[in-house]
Amino acid sequence: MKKLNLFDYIVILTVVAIIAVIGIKIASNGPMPLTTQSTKSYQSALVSIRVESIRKVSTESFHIGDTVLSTETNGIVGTIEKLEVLPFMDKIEKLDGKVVLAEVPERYVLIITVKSSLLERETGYFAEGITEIKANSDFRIYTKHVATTGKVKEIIFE
Amino acid sequence: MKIINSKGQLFEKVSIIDVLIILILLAALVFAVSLFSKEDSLSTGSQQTITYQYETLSVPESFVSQLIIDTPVFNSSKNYGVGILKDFSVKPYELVTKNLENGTFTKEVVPEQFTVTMTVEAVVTVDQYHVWANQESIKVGTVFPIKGKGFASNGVIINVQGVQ
Repeated sequence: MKKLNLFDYIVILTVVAIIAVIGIKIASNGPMPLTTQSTKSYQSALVSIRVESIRKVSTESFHIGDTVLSTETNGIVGTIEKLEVLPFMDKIEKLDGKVVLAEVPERYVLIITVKSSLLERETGYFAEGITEIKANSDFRIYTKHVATTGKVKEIIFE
Repeated sequence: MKIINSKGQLFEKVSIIDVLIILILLAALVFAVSLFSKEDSLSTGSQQTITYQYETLSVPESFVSQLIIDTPVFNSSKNYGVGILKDFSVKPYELVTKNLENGTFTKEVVPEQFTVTMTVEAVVTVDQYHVWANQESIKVGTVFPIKGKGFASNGVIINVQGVQ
């Protein structure tokens, strides 16, 4: 066999790089916490999520004690501590130009308070170190029985 | 004996290029196996028979006439089965409209349009946080397109019964 030339070395390096990428992909299957719990401290917090224009049957599918997960990360957000159901009000601009709020039939607002363990980093707060929680951001969540989309209303640290 | 000699042979026996190609093929095989074993996790968990109600809005009479009890229904974009149609109910479709004079919302019946609620029975796999009918997540609020032999529509799951 002839001596190795520059092209052979390029091929060898490329193959090693591909093996390294595949190895890293296998090793990192599943959600990866941004850091380990042993090196950073978690804080207990209450995260309020406001879901608007939801049907009654959906409000009845959430229960105190249910585990809430994020649809994006499939990571646990926390446990439901409190549920509050309110009528859903929406804007109407009347013929006289006035804007009023009126109740929408058969639609409700659900405020879900979730007890969560949040990791504080420079860029934000992360539930269980995985799911970023930001006030006023849209948030797709689910439990075993129901899925919906809401908005994070507030984060209160205990 | 050098590990890699000047001829590119490992321990003077096998070409290093051949060894690296074999290694990358093995790594690709392991990766493919890990992918397939992840999909198999859908089949873990207990099997149960449940029923759920699926609601579709604003459909015409021709849709209703195609509904046949005890026939299979499918996710119409992904073509997997989501259960058997066991019952259905039909009511006039009502649209929420704005009364600009009073500043209120009212529900008005839309002529020739209907709301259909289908009761579907499905054998599901239940794990800690999910109920799967095939690859469809069965939860109140799940939206997916449905089809049967002669009908198709978009809708949402509005109720689930029988999950343990």
